Amino acid sequence: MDSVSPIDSDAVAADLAPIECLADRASLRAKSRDFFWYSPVLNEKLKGVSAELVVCPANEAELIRTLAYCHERRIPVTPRGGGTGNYGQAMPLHGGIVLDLLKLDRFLWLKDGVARVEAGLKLIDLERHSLPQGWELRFHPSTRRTATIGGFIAGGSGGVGSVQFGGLRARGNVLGLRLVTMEAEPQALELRGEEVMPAVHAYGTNGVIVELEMPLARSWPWREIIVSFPDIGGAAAFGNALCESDGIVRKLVTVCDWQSAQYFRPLLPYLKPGKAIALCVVADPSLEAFEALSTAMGGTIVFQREAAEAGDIPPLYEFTWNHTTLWALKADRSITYLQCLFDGPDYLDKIARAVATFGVETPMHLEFTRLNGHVAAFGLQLVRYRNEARLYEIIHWLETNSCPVADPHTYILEDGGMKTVDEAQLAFKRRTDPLGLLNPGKMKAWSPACS
Amino acid sequence: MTDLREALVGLELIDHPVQLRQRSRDFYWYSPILKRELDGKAADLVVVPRTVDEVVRVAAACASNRVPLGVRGGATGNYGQMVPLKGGVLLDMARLDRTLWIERGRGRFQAGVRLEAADTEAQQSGWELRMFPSTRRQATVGGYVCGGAAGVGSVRYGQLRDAGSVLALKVVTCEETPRLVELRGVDIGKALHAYGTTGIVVEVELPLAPAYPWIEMVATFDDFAAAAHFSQALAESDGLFLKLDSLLAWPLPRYFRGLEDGVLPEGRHVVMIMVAAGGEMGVAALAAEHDGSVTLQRPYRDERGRMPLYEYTWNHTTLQALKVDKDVTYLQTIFPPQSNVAALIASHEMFGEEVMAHAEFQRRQGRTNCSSLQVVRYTSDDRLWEIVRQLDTLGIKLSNPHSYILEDKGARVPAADLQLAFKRESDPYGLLNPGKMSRWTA
Repeated sequence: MDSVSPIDSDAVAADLAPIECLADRASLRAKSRDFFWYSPVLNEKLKGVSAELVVCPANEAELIRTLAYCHERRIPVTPRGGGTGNYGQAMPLHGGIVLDLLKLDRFLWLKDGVARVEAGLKLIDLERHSLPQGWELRFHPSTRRTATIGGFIAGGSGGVGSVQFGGLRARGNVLGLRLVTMEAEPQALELRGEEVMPAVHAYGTNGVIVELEMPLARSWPWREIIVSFPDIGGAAAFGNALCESDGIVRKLVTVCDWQSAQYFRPLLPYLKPGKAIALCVVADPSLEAFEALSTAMGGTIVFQREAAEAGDIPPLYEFTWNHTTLWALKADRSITYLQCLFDGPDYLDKIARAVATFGVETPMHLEFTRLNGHVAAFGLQLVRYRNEARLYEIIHWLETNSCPVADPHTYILEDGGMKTVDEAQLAFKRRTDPLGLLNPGKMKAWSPACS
Repeated sequence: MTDLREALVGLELIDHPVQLRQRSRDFYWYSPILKRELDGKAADLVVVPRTVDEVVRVAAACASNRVPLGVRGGATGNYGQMVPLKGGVLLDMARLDRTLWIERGRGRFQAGVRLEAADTEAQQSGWELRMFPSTRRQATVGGYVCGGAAGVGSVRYGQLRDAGSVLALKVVTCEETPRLVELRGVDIGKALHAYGTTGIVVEVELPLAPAYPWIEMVATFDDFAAAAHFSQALAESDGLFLKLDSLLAWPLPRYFRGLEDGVLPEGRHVVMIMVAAGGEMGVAALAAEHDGSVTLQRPYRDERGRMPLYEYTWNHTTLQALKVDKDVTYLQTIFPPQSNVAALIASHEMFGEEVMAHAEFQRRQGRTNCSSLQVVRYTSDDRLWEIVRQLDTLGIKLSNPHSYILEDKGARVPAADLQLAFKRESDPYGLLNPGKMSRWTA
């Protein structure tokens, strides 16, 4: 895909009519970007990326027509949901067409806790359908109000609720999906159970996801609570103890030191300067035990309310996961972030060592999660960015200290969380996208010779 | 006893010797040792209170007359938890059976409410019990918190003693003027799993869980090690929402009646599972990866005439075996964290069919572990203790089911200290279930 010639977007739009196409500059810019600018490295590399045409199919038939057309003309196609990725997952590196899937937004059915939905349905709208029936997403990214379910599956990994259910890669968290291939005659494939894995977190490089079947969780009355601690060590120990308390039901356990919490502007009236905090979402019946544990571990509850979407203060989850970095960036554009894993029996020590080594250069932000049946924490540290060399020095230190980094400063699939070539993903792409037209440039293992 | 009976005028009393014997027994006869020790023990009088006030009257009368006082729920314990060692009065809580309220994921029950009734009532408003023993259909809420520890649901929600698993206990003290004490938070430990030695539990507040549509599944395996690894991996699959994960080594399935042909193939080890609907594919795929196959998959329905899978698990496993073979008994053991699977496999290899492996997988401090209720072909006490010693060399520790002594069940020292201190206030004359708390007796 090295030499892609520009397309005549007016002609393509005319050919595809009546499928909605957008070619105005504002739309092209808006639909070609995500939150890649969190990373100064990606910002340099991707800021000029733009599609030549945005195509908005309204149903699977229009999607198939679009793909068949692009296949015939060898036009690159990059699928896009809400555009809330952080590493250019949905950015068209080689131009061509961005497929805007927001019109594929039907909620198809919900039965016995399993929901079938179209890929472009926003997470918040999915829950608008399911919550009245007593069900909610097992976990969602902090971008719940803007992200789509298809985008989450194709570009995300976990989020608010992973402290109960693990991540998207944990067996059982995606039950089925329907995906359209990039062939002369695009096929709609139904994948079930383990078969879905090659298409999960593949950035849409091996098929366009059009429908998903998701297991939901029964909803609880949730409470949002912030606990203040003298220092990050105390807050992290609390986070761990909370997650090891099997009798306390929690959906979110986020820990920030003051260096990262200081940017949470709407929360500042409640926070004590200099103190670390734990941001938690806890089931109402677990409140008493939660309060007792926080007191026993030296914490002070500084904020508590019924989980809410409305009001002056955004939902607490919008201060967590990748939103933490966003609050910091609103105040200081020079800040960026990391993604690493603190795991193993000594993971709290690893966190302490990272804090001791880098101090205020990497304000600490932890997301507790379940991983393969035990408790661990993702570090989404902020980084006071100096230059790329220093950034990779920090990454190198983390890696050599057994804190694997899912580099958020690369748009290459394998260089992010995956680390190695996912052979199943690659093999699946050979079948579903033999010409390599889907989201080209993201899967390193792919080369035209592969086909 | 005459003064006592005068004080109890107007209450429902039972003193027929046959009924006294019947109501003074639990399932201690699983153990040949306890059978020898407890056969013949009986209360002198059974009182069936209808209100908490009546419980207070009985407690006052027993305290004033220095008469031992015990409490009976469903009498489904396995170590004589409720068996009156020194006669006296036995309170039968069967008529204290009102559900007081269910709201916002909590339920408050009188102690005599049967777990099945509590679960069913909760389900009517979309909730269910987080965990229950395999004796759900007979046991009471009060009996469970006084004599139980874990159960079906522990694979997700841990143990009864974990913070947040019980929200409150209301107890009546045994004094001339009994007090009603509401225990919440860490104070719950004063009466939780104390066999009623520290107070008469009259109300229990439990946190509930949202009700799920559950699927019962049976997976079978040729190789025991594969089955053990499967059970562990299943419980560690954070994306599979489980309620039950029980491993039953062959020949235990030979004792199980009531399942269709083909569900329990000859010679195969069995894992019994309850998983939230939607998880069936994941369970089957994981079983296949461990060279196992699914032989049963059906929706869980709580209805008469259909035996739920959980009635083959936990303490029911031993019961199913005893129905067929009177010469078996059992052990109750806890496993070393993080090497539990290796220990389980080693114990299976060490004893073969003499000690039939049975493991219940559950959460402990955020991780998966198992406890075991091995079914043992009993030959002699000496051999039984020899087995216990050999298991101990594998890191498998006894929580002795052949003793009615509270502290022999692996009670942790802080909990025992708390209970002893509380008993000094709540039972100054040592009348509550005497002989069970060894530290008091000493």
